[in-house]
Amino acid sequence: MVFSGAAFLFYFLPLALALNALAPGRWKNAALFLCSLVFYAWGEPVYVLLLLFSSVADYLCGLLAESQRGRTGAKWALGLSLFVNLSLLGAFKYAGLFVSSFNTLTGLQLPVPQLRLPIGISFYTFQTMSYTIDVYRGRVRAQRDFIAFAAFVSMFPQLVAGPIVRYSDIENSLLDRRATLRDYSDGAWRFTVGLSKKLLLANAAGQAFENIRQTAFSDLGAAAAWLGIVCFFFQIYFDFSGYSDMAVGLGRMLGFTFPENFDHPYASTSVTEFWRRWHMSLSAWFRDYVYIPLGGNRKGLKRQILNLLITWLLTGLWHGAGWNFALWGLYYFAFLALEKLWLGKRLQRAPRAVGWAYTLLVTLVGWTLFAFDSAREGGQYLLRMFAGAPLLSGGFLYRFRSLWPLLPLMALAASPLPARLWGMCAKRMGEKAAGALRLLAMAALLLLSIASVASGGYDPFLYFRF
Amino acid sequence: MRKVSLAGAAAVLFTALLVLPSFLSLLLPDRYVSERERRGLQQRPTFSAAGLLSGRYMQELETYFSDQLPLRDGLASLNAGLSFCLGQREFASFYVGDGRLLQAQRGLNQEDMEKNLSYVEALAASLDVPVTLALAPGSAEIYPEALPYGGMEDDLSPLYDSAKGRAFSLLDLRPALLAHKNEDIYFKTDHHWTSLGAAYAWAAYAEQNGIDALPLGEYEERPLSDTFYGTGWAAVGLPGLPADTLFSYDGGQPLKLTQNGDEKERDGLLFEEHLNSADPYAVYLNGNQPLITIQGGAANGRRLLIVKDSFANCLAQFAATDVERVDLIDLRAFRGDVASYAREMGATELLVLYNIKNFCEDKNLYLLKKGS
Repeated sequence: MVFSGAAFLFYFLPLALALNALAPGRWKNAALFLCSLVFYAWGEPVYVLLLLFSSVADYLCGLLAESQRGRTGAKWALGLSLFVNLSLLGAFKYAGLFVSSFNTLTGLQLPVPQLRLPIGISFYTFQTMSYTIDVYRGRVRAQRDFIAFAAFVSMFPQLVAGPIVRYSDIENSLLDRRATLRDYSDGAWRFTVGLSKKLLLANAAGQAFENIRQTAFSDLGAAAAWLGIVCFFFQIYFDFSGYSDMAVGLGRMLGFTFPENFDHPYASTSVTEFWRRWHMSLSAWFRDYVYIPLGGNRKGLKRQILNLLITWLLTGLWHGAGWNFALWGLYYFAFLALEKLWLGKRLQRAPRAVGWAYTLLVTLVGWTLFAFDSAREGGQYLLRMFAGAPLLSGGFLYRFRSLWPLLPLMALAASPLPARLWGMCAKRMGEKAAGALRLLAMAALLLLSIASVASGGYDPFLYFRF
Repeated sequence: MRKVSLAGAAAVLFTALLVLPSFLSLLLPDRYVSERERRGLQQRPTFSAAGLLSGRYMQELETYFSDQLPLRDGLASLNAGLSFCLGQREFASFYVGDGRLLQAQRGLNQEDMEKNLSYVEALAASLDVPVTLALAPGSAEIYPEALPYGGMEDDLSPLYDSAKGRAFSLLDLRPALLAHKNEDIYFKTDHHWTSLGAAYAWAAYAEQNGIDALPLGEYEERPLSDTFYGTGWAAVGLPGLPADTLFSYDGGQPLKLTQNGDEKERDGLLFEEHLNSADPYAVYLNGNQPLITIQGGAANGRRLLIVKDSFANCLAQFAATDVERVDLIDLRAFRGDVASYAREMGATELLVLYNIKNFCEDKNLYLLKKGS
């Protein structure tokens, strides 16, 4: 089920919230688990078994790792968990890529598996792996209550598009949680903001990008190509951060506190900073479970660069089973390594605007690798942007003028400015007036979002390859 | 205390706005069609285990929920209004232009054009009566100045030019229509030309083919409906667009019409029962019928076969007045052999009449080759 559809908003969500409110304390996890199963089965009726399988496997591995702590049994439990989760990912996400690449390299004609990717698999396998690793390391206690554990794995607010919630983040609220009226209304506001980002901004930007990408590349002028990737740049931000806002808001309404996932990434003044503000739960996951275990920066510069390379190759591939995603990861590796070795210090001394412009340019070009189905297509698009395509052809003026009120609005909404302004206003006006203003804003945004759902317009789901 | 009451108000507002739509749609009866969008709405899907496992049941339920949302038409207008405010001027391939909605005709393909031209040539080669191809321009070609932000239309002259010098004669309708662009020759909310536009197009055909046409001034013009909202209106969905008027033109001769080879003959070419339907343009010739035969008003021995799309539907009233018999074939539904049909009816001339976009994109014109 997607958050931006009528089934979720008008049927599932009210029922899930009612069930959560009615269920007494120790039944809340059962209610959440049940809701989450329905939520997942709605879009993936068969693959819900996979989710259950992963939950049972890690539930058992966690128990085993704890009872065998300090003995080889614990290592076996950890190994089994990693094996199960990575096999699931390997089989359902990467098998097609590996077999077809193998065929290309060897000239063989092995049949390429055509499995549809189970939505959210990259999120929940990463969550369960981090759980077993943390139990193995003694950072968290194993969860004995299977329903509580399954509720953690399948939790619908963040199941299909993150953030990646670690068991340690919500261990306490899993056992005892209470959403106050304040939590409920703040969560509802956060959800509304996320829903509006998705429906009102991301979809409009996405439609504009889609229109431009469908122009034959040979007709695409340089300015239109740039405009297209700027639209994608906004689409992916508002879509992804909108989903995270909705997840955080829903979590809050249910009594959880999820980690934040985006912190105005497009205001960053270096690529290193960008990745501290973009999809923060993923970067932190790779840092804690790949980069640091590999040795991080503790084994000398050469080893550190190698560790970065491995981490970013995997980060790229996490976003989709395609070599363009690997390339996209390596692209970021190159800039991160460059900043570590040389550029970082210079950027700090330069005016902030320089760092900001540089970071924007790097991210914009990066998205061309991400936005297309293959590196080849992305490369052709880059050629239109850089290699002397006629400037204004491909209907640039028409397209630009169709977007000009939207573009500055999106730029403003992506900047830290609204949050700062809101803080200042709230201080001036007093809490009561600010609360009333927020109430009005919520009513208006919800109404416009519902109107967008009712119109049944363009509403893509971007995370089907994650 | 005050903090709590504001938080309470927010909680109630949020919950109410989500619960209200589902609650109301449980109370209200389901709708079958949306008059606004001219389409059928998803009905409650029937449950089946197979549908559940494949996910089709859930997809249909999702569409059902959004199709049956209460106040859906008003909400969709609100959404279109917001998009318009944010700069969008194109909705489902209709431009919102200066005073009119114009169908986008970009991206037409020379290869497709070539293929369809060759089918018309094949037909012309197999018949020994004159064949004319007339391509009706879209309103964006006649009123380019009305396009929003200058529009994004391609120059279509290479397509028109490629139809010249063939085994059939080309009738370029653009000059005839451009000469009258200050009159209401295209609908403001629909992609078709009006009856008046069709009259000028017919006059151009009559002149090129030496037909003694009844002057436009001799026709009696009658408004059929002044609240016609066309296909563009349905696609765009903005509130406050002006309505069009549908006219009929009566040349004073009795015209007899039969549909699809029926026995039953009827008087006149109008089907006024469509005026209050989702498709009022079907008032002309009952919409797109596979085959229409009209006993015309002029005893001049001319028998005209028109192979056409819907642009010919409102032109028939003029053609039928000026010749002895007109037959109209719509290849989207007609499955006979056009060349044999032309011989059978004793056609003295043949007109292939399509809108340029439709002609380029049509996938049925290959049927012209059949039997030729």
